[in-house]
Amino acid sequence: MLLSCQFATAQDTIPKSALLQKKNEVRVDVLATAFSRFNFTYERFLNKNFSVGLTSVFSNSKSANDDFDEGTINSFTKYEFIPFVRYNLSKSQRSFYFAELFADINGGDFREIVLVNDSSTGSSYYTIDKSTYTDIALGASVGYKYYIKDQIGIEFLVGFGSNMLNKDKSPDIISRVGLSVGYRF
Amino acid sequence: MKSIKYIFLATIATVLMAADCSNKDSEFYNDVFATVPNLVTVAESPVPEIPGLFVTASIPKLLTVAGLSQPLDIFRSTGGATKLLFSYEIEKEISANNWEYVEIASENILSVSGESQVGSFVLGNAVLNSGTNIFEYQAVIQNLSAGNYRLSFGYNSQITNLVEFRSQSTNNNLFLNLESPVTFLDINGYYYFTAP
Repeated sequence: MLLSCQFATAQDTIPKSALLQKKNEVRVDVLATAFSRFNFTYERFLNKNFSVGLTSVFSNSKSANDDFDEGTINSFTKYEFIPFVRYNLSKSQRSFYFAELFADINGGDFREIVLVNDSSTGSSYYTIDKSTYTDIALGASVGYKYYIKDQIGIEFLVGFGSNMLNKDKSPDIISRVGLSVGYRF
Repeated sequence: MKSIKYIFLATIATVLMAADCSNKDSEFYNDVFATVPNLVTVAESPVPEIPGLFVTASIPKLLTVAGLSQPLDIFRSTGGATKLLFSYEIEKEISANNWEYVEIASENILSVSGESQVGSFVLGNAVLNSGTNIFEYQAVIQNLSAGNYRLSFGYNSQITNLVEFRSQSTNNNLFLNLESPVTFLDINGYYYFTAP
């Protein structure tokens, strides 16, 4: 057992692992897929510490649409484009913790209740006004990544961002949570 | 390289704290609220030979609401709701200051206008009269066994000085929550009456 532990540690800390030769990765968030959201990411590894990437998210699930129509939520994020920069917090390339900063260009539908004064009838009434919004959030995440056979990556990610420009309509907080499976090449 | 790492982590901590501080409270986005006093009256029968307790609600479709410059169109606001629902319950005094809820049966209530669903409490439906443009409800509580009774509004409600209506809205239209403060209830929210 001691030998196997030493072997595993040695493998994790080899500086020139096969992973460093593979600069690109694509992955899909399986957690998002379970909730009818499509979440696809491309990541480019710049060196053993830093990588950059872009995540695209599209959502049009029935449950979210129902929540929006029933008034449980007042904004419904339908798309996100998320460029990010990551820093490897561990020495290993095969399994490591990381932290990232991201920007999130997001948009979707917004609803609010408005009071309308109708001069033709001399009365007022409340109605639901629906519109769209676009905003940019800045945020940060932390995560953990593990590679199987230097090729298949499993990643857990959790983070938050705060919208900056259009908070009257957009959600204050954008969450970035995922469980992804990727292919590194 | 270490300084880059620390700057990176400090930035992350700052962003996470900023995100946490700006979070909004949850709300419901399909409800509107209005307060209009004295939309409900409770009165005992003016004819002693025909005892009963009259519960009456009268709510104009175009409702004058404090703070609004024009009357509020309830029907249009709720996407065409034709009923405003409210509830009340009745207790009987079984010994001094000891009360128990009365199960209301159909023979205990006569609906003059609107509708009443009976059981452990009464669900009153003030129904829009298209002729008068008023949501109307009137029921007579009758045929109760002799004794002292008290009536309160709401079901297991802690509110003591007002009657709460909610529109029967459908198809994801807005719900109107209408609160009507009344003066005929005592400080604990009861109206006391006696059945001979």
